[in-house]
Amino acid sequence: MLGWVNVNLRDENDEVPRFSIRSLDCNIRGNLVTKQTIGQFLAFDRDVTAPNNVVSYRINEILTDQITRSRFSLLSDGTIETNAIFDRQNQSTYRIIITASDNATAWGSTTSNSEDFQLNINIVDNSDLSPGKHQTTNM
Amino acid sequence: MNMRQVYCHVSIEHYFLQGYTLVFISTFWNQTIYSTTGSTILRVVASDLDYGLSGTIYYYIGSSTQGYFTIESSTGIIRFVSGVTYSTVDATLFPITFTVFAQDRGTPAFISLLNATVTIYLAASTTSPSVQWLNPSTGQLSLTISEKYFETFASQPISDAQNGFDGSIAYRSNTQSNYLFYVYNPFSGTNLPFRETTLSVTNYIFTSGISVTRLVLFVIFFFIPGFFSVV
Repeated sequence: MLGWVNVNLRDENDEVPRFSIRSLDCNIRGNLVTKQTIGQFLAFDRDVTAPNNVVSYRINEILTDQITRSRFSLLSDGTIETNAIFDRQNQSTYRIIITASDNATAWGSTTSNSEDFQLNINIVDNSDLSPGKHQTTNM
Repeated sequence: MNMRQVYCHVSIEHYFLQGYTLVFISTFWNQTIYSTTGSTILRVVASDLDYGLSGTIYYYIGSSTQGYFTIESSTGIIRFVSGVTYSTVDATLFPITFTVFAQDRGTPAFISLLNATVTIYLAASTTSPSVQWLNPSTGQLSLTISEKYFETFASQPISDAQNGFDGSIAYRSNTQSNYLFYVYNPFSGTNLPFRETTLSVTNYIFTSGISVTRLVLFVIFFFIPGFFSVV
């Protein structure tokens, strides 16, 4: 005699947004007047349902200094852009800490899950060019 | 020394490939219907061996001359055709045999390599099944639990108050034989994170339950081996 059970699982917010790399060095040219896109830095959350798997990005206001925060912008999709004209003589390096958080309270905790990513920016002179472009390839 | 780096973002999309090994977990299925038989007569199950999940399999009865039984395409549950009951069938037609096919909904759709042969026997009206579900009375359950059930409740039997299930699964045996209750998964390639709890017996009534050993979601079966008899 056979019986059967369908067991449905309710997703809990037990996964943390994860960056595939945790830090990166970038060179950007100084003295450019246009807003530059530096890159898009994504974290992935393995939970199955929203809001547990929805990732939000912010520049970490505690770990990133005020001047840096004023000279770079972070879009909601994880893209970092410049927000200033850079002068290597004025300041040649910046450190941006990006925090990715999911959008619900973590299972077994009172806060949401988050992970940090560190972006180190070097300002280079126009004559001191870096080797390559950003490329995206879909596989 | 200044290190120069370039950042490259790679995006990979994964597409499921079509499985080509759709088989029934058993080729022959038998069931006896009694005067007390409810709406569910039998459930046949096929499995896609590539995945171990049957979520996308549909079932059909092959051409047959019988008009008593129908199959629910998405589940494989065989039932009486609407309006037919144990009392209205012609006993001389039994046992009734027909064929069931399984098909998946991929593109192109794949039909089972082996069909299932189903034979339905008719018991005399004075007999009752030697073993019967008490709770749930249909032998079917649909439960929702947190994916963290095991972390929260360890090996306690699963209950789902919202769906009216208190965690105890009971059945009655009409004979002196003891019937074993166990949880099993007919789909190869999948790991079942459930097991039966300790069986207790009182006056031919057996009570058990299902506990979680670790986490994850699958359709599971609990099975009691018994025999059907033709009188």
